[in-house]
Amino acid sequence: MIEVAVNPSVDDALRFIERFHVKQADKTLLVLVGDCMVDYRGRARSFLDWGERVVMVKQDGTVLVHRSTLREPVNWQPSGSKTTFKVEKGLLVLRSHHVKPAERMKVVFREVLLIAVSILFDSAQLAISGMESDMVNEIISNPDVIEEGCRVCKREKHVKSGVIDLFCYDKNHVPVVIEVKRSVATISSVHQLRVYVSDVKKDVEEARVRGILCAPRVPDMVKKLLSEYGLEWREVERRVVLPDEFQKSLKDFL
Amino acid sequence: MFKAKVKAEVIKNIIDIASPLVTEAKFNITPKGISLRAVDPAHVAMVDVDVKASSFEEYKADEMEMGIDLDKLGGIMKLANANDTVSLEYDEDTNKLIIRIGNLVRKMGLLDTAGMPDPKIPNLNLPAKITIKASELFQGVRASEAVSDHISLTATKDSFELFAEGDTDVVNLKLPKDLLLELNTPEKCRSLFSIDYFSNMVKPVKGEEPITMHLGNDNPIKLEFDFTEKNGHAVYLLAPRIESE
Repeated sequence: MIEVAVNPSVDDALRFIERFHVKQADKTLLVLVGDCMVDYRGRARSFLDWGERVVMVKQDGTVLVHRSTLREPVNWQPSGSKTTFKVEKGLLVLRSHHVKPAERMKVVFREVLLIAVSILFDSAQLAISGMESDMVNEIISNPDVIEEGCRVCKREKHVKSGVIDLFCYDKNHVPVVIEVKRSVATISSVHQLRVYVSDVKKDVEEARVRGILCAPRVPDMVKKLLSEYGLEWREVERRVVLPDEFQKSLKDFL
Repeated sequence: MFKAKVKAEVIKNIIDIASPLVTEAKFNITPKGISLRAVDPAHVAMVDVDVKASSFEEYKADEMEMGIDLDKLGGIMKLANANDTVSLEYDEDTNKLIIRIGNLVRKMGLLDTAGMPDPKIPNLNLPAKITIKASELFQGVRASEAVSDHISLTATKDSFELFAEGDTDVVNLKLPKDLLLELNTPEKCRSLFSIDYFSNMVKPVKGEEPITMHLGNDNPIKLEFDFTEKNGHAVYLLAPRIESE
């Protein structure tokens, strides 16, 4: 189904959105085109003055604000955000709120050109071939590449200084912080790992915490620095998926 | 120790040959010249390049390895015209390659070669040998690229044939023996390859230069050619595709 309103007044716009979208926000995709202003507070603070843009509220709560050019949205709210609509002082106000991390976005429309509400069914899986498989997923599916008995506890664990790629426990139940790099491990990734390890140490009261830097290649200089800080490394081979099942590998002829 | 002077074109050639497969590579340096061998991350194709010391204007080297970021080196070589002489010198103290182009000095950090593998050369049974002008092969490949993502190559006693079939269109390039520089096969050989890979292997060869292909049945293809007045030699291996039916 698709419901469309062209050039509605602000009040009509609100009525339209309440009728077709708000009641079943988790099932409908809302697209708004109009002249708006965007105010964001959360991990940072941003303000975007009046301009004509496309705002999309997806069925999972994701909100995207797109301008007339460039690939990336200029503002966005992550999946799981709650969106509300109101008319205030003759303007249509969209508020999106995300709990953790706390992020609030306000989009104020002074003119609405188009509203479209639709229910989209899409259950296909995205197939990407001939790519490097995601290293983090690889480790999650086989933690033994780190070491025997390693148990992945949480992916993307938030700590004071940032987000830990993988938070694990080793076979002696010692916490292990794992930082994954897609290509060459650098000096700055060592410092990043060091900060995460010290963040976790505070969380668990002086207990022993291990830190492992995981990359396809760890240069000698980086290894040296890691050992100086009592950190470890693993060189994990990048697994590459063949373009398709019909393509043979030279390894088949060894 | 490594100190050399060479026409920029030679370095550009090496980069053009290796960079479709890998972004970084280990250069093996010996008193006789420079070589590199690498496989692409999916292990579908391998490249083996050899440049003799005689293609350099000056060349002095001990045995050593240099890990080089090919994109970076390629960017640096863009600063030079093909005929400019480039001087290369390894600085042991800083582990950098010092590149001089005219009055320009560019010091490039080298990569640690410890993790870079030495690919093994597969065991191949490739009875057919075909030598063809690059321009002719390239024409067939370019035509095929437009219609399909794979091509079949067939060699018989009296012809070499390239064939690509897409959903609606077909490309066929059949060259009788007398239009080829060499054709030699005891039996009919046919294998199927990905065009993406194959076209990248043909592209580095200029115009009328000969390319030699060694073909088998559902076996990898070995494609080789000389460059820089026969002082450089490149070999590509490409694993075949199997028929989808």
